[in-house]
Amino acid sequence: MSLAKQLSTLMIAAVLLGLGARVATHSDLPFWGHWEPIKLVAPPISIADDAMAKPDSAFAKSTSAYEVNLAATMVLHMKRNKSNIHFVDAREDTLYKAGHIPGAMNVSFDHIDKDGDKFLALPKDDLIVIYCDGGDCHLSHDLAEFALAQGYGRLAVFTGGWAEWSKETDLIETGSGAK
Amino acid sequence: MNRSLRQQIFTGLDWTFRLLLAGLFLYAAWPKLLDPTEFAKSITNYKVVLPVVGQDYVYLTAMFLPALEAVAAVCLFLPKFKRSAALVIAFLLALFIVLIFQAVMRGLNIDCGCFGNSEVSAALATKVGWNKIMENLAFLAAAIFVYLRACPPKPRYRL
Repeated sequence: MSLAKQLSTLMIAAVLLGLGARVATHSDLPFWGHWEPIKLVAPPISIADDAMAKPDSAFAKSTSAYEVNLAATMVLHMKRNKSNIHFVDAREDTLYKAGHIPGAMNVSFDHIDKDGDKFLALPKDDLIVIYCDGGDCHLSHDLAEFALAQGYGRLAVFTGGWAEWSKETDLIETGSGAK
Repeated sequence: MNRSLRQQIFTGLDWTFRLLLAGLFLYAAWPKLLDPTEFAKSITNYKVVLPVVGQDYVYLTAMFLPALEAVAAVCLFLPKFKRSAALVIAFLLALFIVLIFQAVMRGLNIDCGCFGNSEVSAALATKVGWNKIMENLAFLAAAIFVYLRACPPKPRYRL
């Protein structure tokens, strides 16, 4: 068989496999055209914003998640009971048990098929602050994306994550914590 | 070194390289085939805008590139397709080298996206950088070796 024939056969097999994978994964994204991932970044909200005094107005419903820094996260943490704010730790169960933000519940994005229901029990109108390890960790963003797809519109991603929180504060809870 | 020993060494190397390349490409293709959307994100991270089509190619590439990787990996072990599979793999590796090189030159601090975004794969995948380029150059050399071995021998004419 000539090289050209071999290459053609290989390409046809690849196209068929690609189409098969598309069907098997139920992907509904367009074959062609402009496509880009959901933009998660709404304008970052910092402690300097006056609106932080009232989280309800600062975190209006949006199709993207807000990114918050440590100071803003600490304010939200203080106000969590009065303002219906929930903290969600997107890391692995073992890391969560070793230490987490007090009051945070664990919804490991790596086990979202198992933990997803726990997240979906949260009211959709409440503000949900999600974090993971910080730095290169993308679990909080992945979880925020999952939540946006489920119809949640008030999401904040604490980008500094556990690394920054545990370094800068003494507010640490260990064990199973909130369920 | 006599001819038969050299032949045995070359055959051994050929098998080793094929096993290595096939394992690598199959392992890289599998998570990307299962989650083309995640791979599409990795492609957008490279911020490559092509003339005429812009970034419209992203999703199509995310779907067919892993399929091509998987098919080429399997075909390395089909005698009739070995040569073309090695050629495709060499071409893909050259393409990855160019993409990573441009990302390094532009100072993009991104994950290579080589193994999709699964848990185990995330541990293997590294940021784009010179290490990744050197690694791909080594694999490219292996693919070229397999390709050359698969080429039919030139006829020898004797008077």
